[in-house]
Amino acid sequence: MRKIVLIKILLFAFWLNIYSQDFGKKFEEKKAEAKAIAKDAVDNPNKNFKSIFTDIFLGGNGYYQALIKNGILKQGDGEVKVNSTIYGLIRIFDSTKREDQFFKKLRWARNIQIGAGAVFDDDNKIEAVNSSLSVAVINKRVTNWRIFYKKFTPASIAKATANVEKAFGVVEALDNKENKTKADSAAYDKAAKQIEDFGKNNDFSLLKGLITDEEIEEAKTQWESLTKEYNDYKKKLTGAPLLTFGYEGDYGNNKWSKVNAKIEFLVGFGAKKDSVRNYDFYTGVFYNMSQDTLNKTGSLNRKVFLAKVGFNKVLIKAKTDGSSLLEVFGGGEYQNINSGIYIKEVKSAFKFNASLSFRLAPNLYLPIQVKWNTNTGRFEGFLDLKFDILTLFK
Amino acid sequence: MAKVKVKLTLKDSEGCQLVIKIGGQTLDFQGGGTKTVELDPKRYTALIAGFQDPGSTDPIAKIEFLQDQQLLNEITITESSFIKPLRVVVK
Repeated sequence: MRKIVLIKILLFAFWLNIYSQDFGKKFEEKKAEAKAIAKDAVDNPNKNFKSIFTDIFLGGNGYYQALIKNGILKQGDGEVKVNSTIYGLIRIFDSTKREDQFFKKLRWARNIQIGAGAVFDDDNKIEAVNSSLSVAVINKRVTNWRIFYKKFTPASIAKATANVEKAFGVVEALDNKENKTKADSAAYDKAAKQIEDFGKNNDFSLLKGLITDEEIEEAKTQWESLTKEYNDYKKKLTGAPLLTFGYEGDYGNNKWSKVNAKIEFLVGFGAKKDSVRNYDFYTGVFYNMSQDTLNKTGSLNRKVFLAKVGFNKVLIKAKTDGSSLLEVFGGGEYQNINSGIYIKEVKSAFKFNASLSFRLAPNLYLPIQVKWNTNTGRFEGFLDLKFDILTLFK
Repeated sequence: MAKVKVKLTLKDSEGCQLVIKIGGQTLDFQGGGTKTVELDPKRYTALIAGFQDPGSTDPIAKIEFLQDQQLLNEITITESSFIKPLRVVVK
């Protein structure tokens, strides 16, 4: 009960925040603004934008709409951001590259995620830019075709669908019957509807009357056995090792204000019974360089090393698509401030960390973090939003 | 007997294991491509079953039946595992 009340409060706070910004209205304003800027860039080529940008913003070949629709292009308050794997961009500019012969060759492009953004001032001039890169150097979350074809053969599928083929044959015979009576047509319509519905959800009980109950049961058992093996393999892939490295940086007023480098590793584990709500082992190493507001020299004077390790466990999954709704993270982190330490700040700290993350929308989580700082002996709490970047590499 | 071409196009997917049963014949596909089957002119209920790329989040398989370059019928499948019927009228 407490959990439900807490979830409700958090969701209310989140949506209150979104609506207080009049998000929809601002989004439309910025969309129109971006188009105006792009048009201006065409009329005045010496201004901020390059030709590829103008083509995107003016909606050439529908790219603008496609980028928005696919979540690659996002517009915030006075800023524009592009975030995608290289494949995500390729498929929008050349849809033929989505076909299997290219899709397989473009594995490398699915393993590189790039991000770029620009913040505009009141005169629509670029004030600052940010960029990010994330490369999956180990990504075992792709199909091993040797294993797949060994598990699933044309013969095994043909065998598992033999009784369904028989049911379809009944419909086919009714369809080809010559000199059909009204009763024949009605029988065909009914049977055709049965297999049409079966095709939508593969509910074997819908085949009743077309084949015997024993044949239905046999067909159901055989197909479910094959699909279970398929789903198990699919789940195994989602927990396979993933190692990424990358950086993100902010640049404005002819200087870098932030550069963060990171290496992250994630792998699923646990007993077979945990496969529905899997455990993940996570570790990440970060080196964050930033310029604090008092520093006028332009150098990245504050340098922080951070290492995290922990376990993640999915507690609640959506029944519809199996995605995680609630998950818990437990682990520790070590932080060492190499330079640019603030007054009253500790140079090195080890913290135990626990967080509970609620999914608010696809790929958007609200984590509530509680940390125990070994130096201060205090608990620290955080509330933040985070994107699930790992789904980008699937 | 008429020659009917069966064309499979996969999108956002590296491959599949797909079986098509029609007129007592079985065709299998592991990737996109076209296969030909000889059929008597009549109405068929083809069975299309199989599994799409488990490593892909949004795989799409499109199957087209063509006779003399004319489309007889087509189906687009977005499910990862599936058994589908498709009515094909061969002239």
